[in-house]
Amino acid sequence: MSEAGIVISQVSKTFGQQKVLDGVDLRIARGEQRVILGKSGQGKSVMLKLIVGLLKPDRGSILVDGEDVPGLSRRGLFRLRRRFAMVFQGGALFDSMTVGENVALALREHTSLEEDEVTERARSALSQVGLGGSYDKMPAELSGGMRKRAGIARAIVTRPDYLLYDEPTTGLDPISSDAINHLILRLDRELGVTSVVVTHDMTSAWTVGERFALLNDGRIVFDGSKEEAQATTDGPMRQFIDGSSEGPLQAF
Amino acid sequence: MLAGERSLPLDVEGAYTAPMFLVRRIGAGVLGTVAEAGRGGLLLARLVRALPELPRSFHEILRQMFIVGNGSIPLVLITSIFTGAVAAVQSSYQMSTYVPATLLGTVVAKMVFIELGPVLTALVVGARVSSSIAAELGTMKVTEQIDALEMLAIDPVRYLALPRFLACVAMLPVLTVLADAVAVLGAFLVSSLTLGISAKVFVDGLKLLFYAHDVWGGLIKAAVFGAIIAISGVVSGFHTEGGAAGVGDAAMRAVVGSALMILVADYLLATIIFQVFFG
Repeated sequence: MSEAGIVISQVSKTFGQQKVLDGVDLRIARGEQRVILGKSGQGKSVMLKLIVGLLKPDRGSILVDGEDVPGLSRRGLFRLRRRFAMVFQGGALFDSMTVGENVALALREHTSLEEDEVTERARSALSQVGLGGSYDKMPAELSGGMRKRAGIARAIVTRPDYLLYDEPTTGLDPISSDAINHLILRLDRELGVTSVVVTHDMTSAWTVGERFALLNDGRIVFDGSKEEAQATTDGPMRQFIDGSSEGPLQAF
Repeated sequence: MLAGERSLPLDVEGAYTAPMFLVRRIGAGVLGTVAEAGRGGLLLARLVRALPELPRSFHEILRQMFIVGNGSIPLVLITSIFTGAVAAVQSSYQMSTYVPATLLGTVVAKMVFIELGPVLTALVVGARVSSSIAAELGTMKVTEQIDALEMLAIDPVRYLALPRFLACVAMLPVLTVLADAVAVLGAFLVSSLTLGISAKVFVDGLKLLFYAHDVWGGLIKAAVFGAIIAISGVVSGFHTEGGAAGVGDAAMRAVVGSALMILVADYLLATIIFQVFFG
């Protein structure tokens, strides 16, 4: 019987001469709030893109609810992605559309809902992230934090099973970061989604995560619960938590 | 001894560097061109596969037609009026000793309808439109908006490429008709104002040996050039890497690619249309 959730086995990915992932193994159970930690440039975002088939691995397998992602046709990938949503690092809002049109786009494309209902659901998603008054604004009029929240609204409007966050707090001030973290936490609870958060921000990780993985030199070097992560006394995970340049993780 | 050990490999390397550099540059250029052509072919196949979903993009196709067509009108007007004027002056000069002036309109019309109208329109509109498409899609690529579309299970080829492709294919012939008319007007003005050829003589020359298939052939060429412009812009945009420099590079590749492909296609189409079909 196939396993629910995401199962990544022995996945490798190389760009040019640079091996980014080198035999990664990771399981993310349904309903889990998983955080993937790692220094910048360690391939965390690449892992997210591999899970949803935006990139193909050179080796290894990625199963989502038993479906082999790299083996899916383009149509199969689109079917799979209807159950996913991703919040991109910079928001990735379509800058030729209003915020409301951004949020409503997937509903207009994939559902036969009446225009009134599409607008209503888009407004409701924006209200959930505290952007109720921004429906008619252009993305360029929003601050960095508001753009990320609009990206989250666009992600939740289709009510996905899996929510992937790529560095949700990067580039934000501490207050906006905290607001985003609590928003993620609230949405996880309200929507019952499986969330995967890629970050190097430990404050964010402690707030939103219940299981932690640490990626370094192309491999997972720690995989455990929040309690296990907190209890670690040495090794790469402790170094990363402490934010120390001394230890097994090389700064450069 | 130490200096000798150093100098030998440097000398050997130096002896190979210059020609190897040239060979590598040529090789990279050839491979790049083949790769770009391959991407263009693949995109065309995906555009054809996306055609059944055309009605969903109807509004966007109209918007793109407006951008391509309306936005290019001033450029086409200026280019074509001078094209016609130059065609008249040059033809008059070259014909002056052995061809009667009554044939000036005939010669200008042939040049404009078959060659100058479609090709020059495609080159100037191509520079404007292919760079604009490449820069727009390239910016979307580097800011992850294309990935965001993919994540919303929306095919970027259907959503972004197809409307631009159809708009270019539809609007290039329309702009060429405008260019043809304005170029002939330019030639007429120059002929009557500076070359001493009366309006009646010019118009009679225009009618003489006028074949509708000359115009149709030019318009078929324009439609193909429209496809080249769109494909060049979309391929460069979709394969943009890096940040602002990558977007600039994509826009440049789109313009160069579309101009070269238009000239190559012009030769091939001239052979096919005017020798095989209308010959």
